[in-house]
Amino acid sequence: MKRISLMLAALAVAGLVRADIPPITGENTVGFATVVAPGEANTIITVPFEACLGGGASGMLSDLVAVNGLTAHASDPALADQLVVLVEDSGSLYYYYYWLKEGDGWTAITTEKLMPDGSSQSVNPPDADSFAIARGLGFWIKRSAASANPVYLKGQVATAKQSTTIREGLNLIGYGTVTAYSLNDSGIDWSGAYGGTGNTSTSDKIIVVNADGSFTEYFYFVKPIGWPAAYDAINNKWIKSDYTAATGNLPAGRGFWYQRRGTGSFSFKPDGE
Amino acid sequence: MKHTLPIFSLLLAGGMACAAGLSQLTLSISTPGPDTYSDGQPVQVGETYLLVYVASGSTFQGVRTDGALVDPVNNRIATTATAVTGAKCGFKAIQYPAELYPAGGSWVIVLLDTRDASGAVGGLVAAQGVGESVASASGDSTKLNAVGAGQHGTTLAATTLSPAPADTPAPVIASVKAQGSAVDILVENVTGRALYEVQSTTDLVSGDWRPAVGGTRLRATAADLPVAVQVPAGDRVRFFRVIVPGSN
Repeated sequence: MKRISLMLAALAVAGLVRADIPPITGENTVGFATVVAPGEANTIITVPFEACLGGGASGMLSDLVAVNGLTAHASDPALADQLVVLVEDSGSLYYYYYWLKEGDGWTAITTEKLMPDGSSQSVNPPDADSFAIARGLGFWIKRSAASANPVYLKGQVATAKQSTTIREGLNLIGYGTVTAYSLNDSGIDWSGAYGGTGNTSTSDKIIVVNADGSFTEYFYFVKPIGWPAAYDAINNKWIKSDYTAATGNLPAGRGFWYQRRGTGSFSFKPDGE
Repeated sequence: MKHTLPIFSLLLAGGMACAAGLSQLTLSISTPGPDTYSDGQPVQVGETYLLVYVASGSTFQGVRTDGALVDPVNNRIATTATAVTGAKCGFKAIQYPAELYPAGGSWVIVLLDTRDASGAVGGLVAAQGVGESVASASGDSTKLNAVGAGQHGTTLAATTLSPAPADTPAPVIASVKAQGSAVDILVENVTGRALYEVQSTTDLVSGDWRPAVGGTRLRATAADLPVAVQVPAGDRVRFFRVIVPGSN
C-alpha cells in the first residue's frame, strides 16, 4: 500500500514537471483555401498566402496554386487548365500564360506581343517555380474541361500586412484573406479609394466575375457635402448601382477587378498600416 | 431630389469614364479540330491559320492565293498559328495595344489550304475556311477572350477557293507535246503569285473539263510553266486548257 502511494506521488510530480515545459512551436503556419472555379470557364483568383512552404521565400506560382484535381495534358495547352497573370514591368503590361503540363506542372507559354508598327515581340514568362506572386495579386485560372474539383491555393499564412498598388485604370487584385469577407467589413481598410462626385460613373469600381460569367459591380461612395443625411449610412462604403450598401460575402481566394477612376495610384492596405 | 443629383452627375461624367481601361489586351486562339481540307483530308501538321481583325461594319473578304488580303483596309492579319497533331490550330496567345484593334470590330480565325502539287504545306493559298466571328474587346474589357476555342463540336473546313491577285494575266498554252500517256504542256503569261490548273476533255461540245492528272496546284517559278500531265493511253483526241482556280 505504501509502495502504491509512493508511485502515485512520483507520477504527480512528473506531471507537474511536464506541465512546466513549454511546447516548441513550429516556425510557420501553413494552410490551403479552396476556390470554386467552374469548368470550361475563367475565374479570377488571388492567393491569400505569402510564402513557399518551409523555405519561407516569396511565394512562387508553382507552389501557391496546387495542381491536384486540375486538368493536365501531355502536349496541348488548349486542353489543359491554364493560369494567366497580368503583370506590370517597367510601365508595360504583360500577360503571362501557364498551362498544366502532365508531369511538369505549371509550364510557361511563350506569347506574342503585337506592336503598333506591325512588328511583334516574344514574351517569355518566368518559370512558374521562380515567379513570385505577391499576396493580393489577382489572376485567372482557365478551366479547360467540365470539372467539379475546386482549386486549392496553399502556402504559408501571411505575417506581413498586405500592400497592393492600385493604379489608374483596371487592376486585377484581391484581398488576401483566408476567410470569406464582405467588401464593407469594418476590418478592411479602403483608405485611398475614390468616391468620385457621389455618382457611380466617377467613383472607383470593383467588378466581381460570377460563376456564370456575369459581372457584379460595386462602387465606392463618399457622400458629397450638402447631400441629404439619408446617404450617411452608405458613406465610405461600397454600394450597388441602386445606392444600397454592397452585401454578401466574397470567398477567400476570389479575386476581382478594381477600376481606379481617381487620379494617381494608391496602396491598398486592407489590414491597415 | 434624393436621386436627381446622382443621375445628373452620371450624365455629365459619362464621357470621362471610358479612359480608365487596360492599355494592353490579350487573346488566345485554338480550334478543337479535327479541321479539314476541301477534299475531306484532315489538316496537316504545320498548316497555317490566320487571326484576322475585321473592322466595324465590315466582313471578312478572304485571302488571295499569294496570302494577301482581299480587303486590306478593313481586314488585318494580327498573327498566324500552325496546325498541330489532331488536325487543329495549336494554342497561341497574343497581347496587343487596345487601340490597335478597336472595339466594334471582330475577330475571325481562318484556316488556309497551302498544299502544293506534291501535297506538302507551305505553298500558295489554294483555299480557305473561316470560323465564327467574335467581337473585339475594348480597353474596358474584363474578360479573358479567346477565338476558336469555343467552337466545341464544330470544325473548320478550307472549302472556299482563294482568288488570284487582281493583276493576274490570263495564261496561254504555248506548246503541247504528246507521247503515249504523257503530255508535256508549256504555259506562258504566268505569275508566281497564282495557282494554275491544267484541265482536259475529249469533247469540246459537252464542255466537261476535268483537272488533268498532275495538273493541279501548279505554281510558276519562272517566266513560263512547264507541266507534265497524264492522260489515258490510246486517247484518239484530247483537248487542254489552263485556268486559274477561283478566278475563272
